[in-house]
Amino acid sequence: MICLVALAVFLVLAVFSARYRPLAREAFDCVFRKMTLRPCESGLDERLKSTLVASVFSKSPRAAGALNRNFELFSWILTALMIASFAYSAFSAYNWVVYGDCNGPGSDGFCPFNAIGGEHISDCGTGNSTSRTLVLPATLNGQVVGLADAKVTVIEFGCFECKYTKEAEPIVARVLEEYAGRIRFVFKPFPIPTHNNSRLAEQAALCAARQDRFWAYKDELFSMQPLLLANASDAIERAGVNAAVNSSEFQECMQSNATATEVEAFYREGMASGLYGTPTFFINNRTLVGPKPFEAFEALIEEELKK
Amino acid sequence: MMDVESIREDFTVLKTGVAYFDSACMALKPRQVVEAQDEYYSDYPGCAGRSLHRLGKKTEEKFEEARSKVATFVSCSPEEVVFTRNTTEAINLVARTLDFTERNGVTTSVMEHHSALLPFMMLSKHGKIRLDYVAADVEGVTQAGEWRKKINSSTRLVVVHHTTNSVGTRAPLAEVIKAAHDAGALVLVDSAQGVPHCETNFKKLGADFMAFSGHKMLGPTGTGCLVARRELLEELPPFMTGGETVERVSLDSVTFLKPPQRFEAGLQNYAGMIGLGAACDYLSKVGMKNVEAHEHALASKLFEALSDVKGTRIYGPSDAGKRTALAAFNLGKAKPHEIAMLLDKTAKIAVRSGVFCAEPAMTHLGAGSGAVRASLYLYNTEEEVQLFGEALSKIAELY
Repeated sequence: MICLVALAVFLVLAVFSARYRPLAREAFDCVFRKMTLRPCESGLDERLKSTLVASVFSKSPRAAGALNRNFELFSWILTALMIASFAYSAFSAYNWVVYGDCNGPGSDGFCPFNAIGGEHISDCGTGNSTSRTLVLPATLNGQVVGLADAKVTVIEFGCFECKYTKEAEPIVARVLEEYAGRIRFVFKPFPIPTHNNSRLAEQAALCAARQDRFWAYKDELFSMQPLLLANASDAIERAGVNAAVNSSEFQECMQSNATATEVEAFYREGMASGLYGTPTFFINNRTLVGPKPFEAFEALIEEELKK
Repeated sequence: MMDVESIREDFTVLKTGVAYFDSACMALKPRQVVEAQDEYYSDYPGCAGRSLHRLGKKTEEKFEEARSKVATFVSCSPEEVVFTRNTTEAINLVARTLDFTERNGVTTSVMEHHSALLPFMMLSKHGKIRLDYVAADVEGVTQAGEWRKKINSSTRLVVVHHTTNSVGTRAPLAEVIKAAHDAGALVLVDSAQGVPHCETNFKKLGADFMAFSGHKMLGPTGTGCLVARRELLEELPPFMTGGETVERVSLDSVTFLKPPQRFEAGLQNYAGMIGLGAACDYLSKVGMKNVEAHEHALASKLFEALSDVKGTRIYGPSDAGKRTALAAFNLGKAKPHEIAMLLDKTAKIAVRSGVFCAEPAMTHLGAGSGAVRASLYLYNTEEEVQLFGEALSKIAELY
């Protein structure tokens, strides 16, 4: 069975280096012969076994003995792992193509394919939307900074409990710094349904906004995200203290659920826009999903500014 | 006595720490041989026998000097030495040129190398000869009586090994040659494993043909010789024709050169043969008696070391007196190639594995799936043999 694993490995290596191509051919021949119930004539299996056993031998003769005696079992395990790995990769690829998230719709898992600049990203999913089509939000409601009549408007849907929204924070800060006076930025607090305290955190942030302390409160809340996930009420209170929010007004706002309707409105707006995860950015009518590098923002903003 | 440590200094590759136990396949080359070849390419890279300029003359002088050195080494005259690429070509030369019309019997044994078997198997397949095989005993030894039974008045040629490359057993050459000559047959000795390891006197041996390779006796690759009695060479037609083999050529007729040049078609491996001459010098300087004694001592140690390893099956003679410094063995159910690779990777010991181009012999010995072969030479030491035994013991524990 080791030839099957070798075939997969050498095929990949053969793409990058010609020296592995004869080995890939040899492995293919070996696999073909085994499939037709004939012995592998090239001795590739024996060479691989000896190489592996010898490598282990130099470190632990006892382990080498165990490997040598159970090599067929070891080969089967490797083969099973390889097949499982292929199946999982294929499933992930399917998810990525269909849902734009290699972990499937509604997953919190991270998709490495998108982290460095792909069009879509696996992130804090909405749990409902499976569409990849994003529609520009109907309103500019939200927390706004920057020029009111800017040529470029950047809208962010973000969730305080989403680690990818937090990951995007320094990038957003850099965007705001680099394009100060040239863009308008709108933050829309978006409660991820699968995040238990998300809605509460968004309400708290909007309560802080009523005291013009939104941006400070937002920074505090992201900085204590682990506490927010573990003990939401404690985090919400501490963030308020750190952001110099008037405590009694804040408490009153929270107890009266005064901002709950706003949060629900942001949620509905996000769903209407087809959000499938946070953070989602609209740069005018163009989108970025996930904690994209600054260069991704820069490219889109520059293009929009030139229009 | 020979100074092994001093000899080892001449073999650069040994400084890498490799323990080389594959001399039956390919002997290592001392720097003297390499230098002799380099000298040809650097100082006088000409053509022998055709160019009259100084480089050509020097090449011819050195090439023929090499022939004389080989002749001296095996005790024959230079005219009886035909340069070939290897033992295989030398045996094919005899198989293809000897006249089998009056007597077409060829007797050989199951213990021969493929190079000694296949040329005659092909002739037999095409109905040109009748091939008969002498059986070997369970230890791979062919007995004189068995040879006598197979040699008769229809036998034209007896093809016999000096030493088998598979298990290192030796044929009863004197008896075989006598039986063949008594029956009016010729004898071709495959001495690929003989000349490199034993003092050889072709005239005293009494054989008609003797084939051996340079690369197994410290010489360069692509070098070999057919030594034959001069009157026999005179009778044989050319093996291959072309440049150098002829005295005169017209469109109607060809006059071939006298032996040995008649058999050396085309431009020759001058550098290789000059290197082979240097190898003969080297071995002569060490003394073949000393080489034999050294190998005999190593053989005892080798078989002791192998016997001490649990689970080994050693092929070949149980009698210590019949052993040469070559041992074929298997280790339990382990595959021979695995053992060879593990010895290389874990202890830098180079051995051969497989059927050693002697499949019928290995099948006869019950090792049709192959075995591991350790073959020693003048540069090996007892310490290396001890290391080999220790490494093999550790590997045996893996199974």
